[in-house]
Amino acid sequence: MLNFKLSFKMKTIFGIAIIETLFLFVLVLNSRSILYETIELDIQDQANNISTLLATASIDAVVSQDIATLDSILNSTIATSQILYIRILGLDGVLAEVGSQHFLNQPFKEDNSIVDSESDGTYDAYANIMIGGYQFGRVEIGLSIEEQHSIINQATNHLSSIAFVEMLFVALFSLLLGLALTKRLTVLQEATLKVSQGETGLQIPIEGSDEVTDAAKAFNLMSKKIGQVTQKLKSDNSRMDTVMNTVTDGIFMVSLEGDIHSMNRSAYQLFGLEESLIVTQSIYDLIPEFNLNEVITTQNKHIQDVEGLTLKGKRVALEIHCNQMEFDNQQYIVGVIRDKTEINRLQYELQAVFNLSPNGFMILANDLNISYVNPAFYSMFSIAPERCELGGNNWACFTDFIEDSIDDEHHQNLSILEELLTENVLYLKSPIEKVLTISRRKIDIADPDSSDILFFVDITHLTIVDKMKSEFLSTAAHELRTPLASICGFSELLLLREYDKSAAAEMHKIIHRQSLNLKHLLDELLDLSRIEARAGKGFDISIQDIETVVKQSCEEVEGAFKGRKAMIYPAVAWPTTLAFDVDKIRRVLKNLLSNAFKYSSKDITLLTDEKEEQGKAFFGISIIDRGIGMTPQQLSRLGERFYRADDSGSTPGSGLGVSLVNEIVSIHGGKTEYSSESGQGMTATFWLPLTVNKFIKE
Amino acid sequence: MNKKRVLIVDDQGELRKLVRMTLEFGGYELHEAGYGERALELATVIKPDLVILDVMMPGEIDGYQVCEQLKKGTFEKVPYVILLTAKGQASDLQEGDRVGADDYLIKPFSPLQLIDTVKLALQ
Repeated sequence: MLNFKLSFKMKTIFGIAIIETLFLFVLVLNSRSILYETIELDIQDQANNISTLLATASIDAVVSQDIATLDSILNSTIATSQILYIRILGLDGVLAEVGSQHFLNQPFKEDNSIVDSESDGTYDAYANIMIGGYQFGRVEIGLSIEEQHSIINQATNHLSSIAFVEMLFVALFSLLLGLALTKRLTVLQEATLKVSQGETGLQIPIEGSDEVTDAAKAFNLMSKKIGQVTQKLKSDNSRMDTVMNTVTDGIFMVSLEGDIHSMNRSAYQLFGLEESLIVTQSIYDLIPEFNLNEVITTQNKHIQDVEGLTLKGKRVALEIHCNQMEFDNQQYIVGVIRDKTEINRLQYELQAVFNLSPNGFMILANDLNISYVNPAFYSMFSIAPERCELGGNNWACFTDFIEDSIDDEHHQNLSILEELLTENVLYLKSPIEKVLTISRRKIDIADPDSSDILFFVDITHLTIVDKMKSEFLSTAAHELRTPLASICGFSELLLLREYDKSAAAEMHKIIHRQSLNLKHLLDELLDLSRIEARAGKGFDISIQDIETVVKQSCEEVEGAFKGRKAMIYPAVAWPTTLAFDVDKIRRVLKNLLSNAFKYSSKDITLLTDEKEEQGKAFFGISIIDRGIGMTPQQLSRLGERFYRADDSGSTPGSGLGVSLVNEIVSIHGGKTEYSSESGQGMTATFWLPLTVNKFIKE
Repeated sequence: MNKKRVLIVDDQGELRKLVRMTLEFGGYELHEAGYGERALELATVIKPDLVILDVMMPGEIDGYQVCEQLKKGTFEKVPYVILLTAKGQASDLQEGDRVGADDYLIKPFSPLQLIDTVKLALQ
């Protein structure tokens, strides 16, 4: 269809040309035909006239058979140049003939038109020679048609020339017309093209007042409208884009099959993807466990914790809110994703901090529900976590336990809530006595309706230590003043009065003994505080021969208790790899052996032993006496500083010896055990670890 | 005139000896007890005029309790009580006041001071 490719202009030109050509062709043909007819009539007339004239002129000669006359007539006639040949026929054949032999030789055939004559190049006509109604002969002539042909050709040429020129002018005009017309249409076309390519609000100049002008006006109006609509769409889009890219949450849109349609900037960043990357991925590449089917079928629109994969393979914890939507007749799932990794990490860290904290935390909501307590809180109030769970109505459950724990002596006429919200110190009595401080504040200081966070610190130990310290000081002062009272008192009496020799000697003895007691007391006090303060740092623990140390210590103590013996029975063999501080263990042995001797009157027994406890092997030495022993009550106070089972003053001692023993053995990583039945004697055992001790010096 | 009876209560024998030797020439009838229960037993028998009482004593009852019973108990004759204490802190003295003690001596005490205090008490 070539026509379709022609421009409007060309079509106009071609159309006009075809019509022009057709009509001109008809005109030329018609003119030529008229000319032909005219010429034809003319030549017919001429041929008839000439032949008739000759027939008339030659009647006599034919009748008379006068050939000479005939020749003369013929010759004079043929002088007329247009006649190509003349032949006169009598009843018996040719009487005379003149003209071109070529034409004469041809058989005669009458022509009724110029066209007939064209076959032999001559217009043939005849006239009968008639006399009185009888035919005597016939005149045949041939006229030249050359001139007529020339006229016709000339006329045709002229007509054709005129037609051609006319066509040229018409073509030129139509070209100019087309140009003028299409020029404005082109403007319209180019403008339309630009609009279609996205140029908005384009206006074209308005010229003239024809239909094209109307079209241009209509175009301008349309372009303006499109411009406005496009501008609105653009600004809507850009507003939408701004919003989408400003939100910190990731937003994605996927088909029901999981193919990603679009994502916002935050989503790209979340998955570590390049924003310029054309999304062709499936959502399952990013969130492998994303259950789209579940979202579609169960309308479960909130997915709490699902793992996402970034481009670099890093795992992120996500929270997703989904919604099914329809765009352009197609169903999509639109999801809002939030990266919970950091929140989770913080949560885990905080959780660990709160779980590890020795201090109790409680978050008390306004509606009296306890939304959080940490493990330390549960343990402070001796609540099994499964008994009072967090969340929901748990106030009554917690307060039951708290009420049971609280020491009513310290907290009278106060409700649990008042105690928790107003008291600064909380005294607990059950199951063990505790002293807690409570601090509290609103979670949101600016909002008085926000939850209260309560912070409990167990200061029991501090309180006990404090109490112990003051008790210790007071006891130490007492213990120092007691021998001092004897020393001061007796010496003053000696100064004041005269005593006989034996009484004075007795008093001197008391003074001396009590001053020795005082010295011993001070020594042990200092030793204990030194050992305690340095927490074993001054200990020189290395592998030593325990057998020798035990034997030497026994001999040493035996010397002070004349005539009595410490009998050693190594029930298990002496270990060769026991690590200890020789001086300190000597002190332990000396204290325990002295006690055994002091509180009995017989020999004492020393046994070795071994045991394993919690995978650790211990070597033990037991010192057994068969003396007065201790009541269970006395035994329970053994090791308390300055505690002395016999306070009669008759047995020397500071009341610090066992404390010292316990301290030294404990620093070695060992332990002490005391058992007794009143009146049946006493067994003191100390265990030292056989495993390599951290204090060992190579 | 009967000798004034003085009961010396202390868990330490040497201390009792010191008090006895200090007061032995004062013309008193001296009695000794080594612990609280014994002191109360003796007090019901001898009905002392004065009790010199150590505060810190082993056993079920300490000096304060002994004093309280002597002063507020059902004794015909309420004795004068001098507390003998090694502590001497304000709180101890307050406790002494509470149980009705009449005087204090703080260890170590001077025998002369003891003599004066006893003399004053028994006038």
